[in-house]
Amino acid sequence: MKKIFLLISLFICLFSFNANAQNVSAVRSLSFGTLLKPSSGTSWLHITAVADNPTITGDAIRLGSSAPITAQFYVTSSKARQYYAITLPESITLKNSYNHEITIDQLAHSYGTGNGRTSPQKEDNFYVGGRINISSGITGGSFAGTINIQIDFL
Amino acid sequence: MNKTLLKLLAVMALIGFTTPAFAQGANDDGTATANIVTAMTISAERDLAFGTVVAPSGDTCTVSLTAAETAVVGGDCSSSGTQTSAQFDVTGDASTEYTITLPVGTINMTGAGDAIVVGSFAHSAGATPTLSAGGAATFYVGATATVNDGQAGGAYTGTFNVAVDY
Repeated sequence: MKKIFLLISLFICLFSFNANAQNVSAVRSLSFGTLLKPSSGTSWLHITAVADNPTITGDAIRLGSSAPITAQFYVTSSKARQYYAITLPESITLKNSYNHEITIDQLAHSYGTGNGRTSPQKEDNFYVGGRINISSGITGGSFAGTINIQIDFL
Repeated sequence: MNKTLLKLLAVMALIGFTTPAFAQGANDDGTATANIVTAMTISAERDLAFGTVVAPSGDTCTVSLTAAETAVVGGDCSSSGTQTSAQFDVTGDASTEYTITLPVGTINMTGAGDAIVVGSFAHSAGATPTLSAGGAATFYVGATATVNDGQAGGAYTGTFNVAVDY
């Protein structure tokens, strides 16, 4: 009977362990601001995934300051000091109301080729950047799309 | 019976140990956005023309042109001839609002005599100018010219700047 009680206790403990929340959530969008469509060919703008104020390169002409340029910001939570791998799509597509498409490629996260790790407070965060490619053939407007990212705790 | 239950619990406990290996991931959809705009163009298609004005004697007089395709001539000068509002054609993103910037103060038309001051510029595009579905628009600009007392005869010309933006 003692053994049965011990096993039941162990089982409950294991279930409790499984209930440890593992989560990742996007708290800020990857925003390329307002860009001028090129008169011919293509232009591009690359947002690096390093910080709140990312490095921006490219030959696309940026307009105004009302639409900020930001790297995407994710918050993760799990157990304390847990390593995790980040998987990003190779590219994503943004569309406008005319169903015209813009591609974002070179998606990268702020850990580069390394893994993230949660803090002793069981949280962590990272940034995601990418490169937008604008063709002269598209119709202007507001473009939007989704980036599905996967994290796997190691 | 107790042994069977013991075995069952042992198996369940084992499953419990292996379960975490299948639950160590998470994913989320973030959003990416961009606002792409086409460079606007503007071209002056017709001049602002106050026509032929009789020089006043004893006081200044004015000639005003409304900002309409066919301008209505006003003011107290005696005038005639070709009197037109200025016409501007613009292009840009389809169905998009834009702004028009006209001279805030006055500009001068120069010629043989004293400069003729032109002010009170206005356009015909209303409070929210908007490009058509084809990405084009036309608007007209009117203004008021003040002709000096004893203005010397001759042709007077000047330029004014009109700008458009999203």
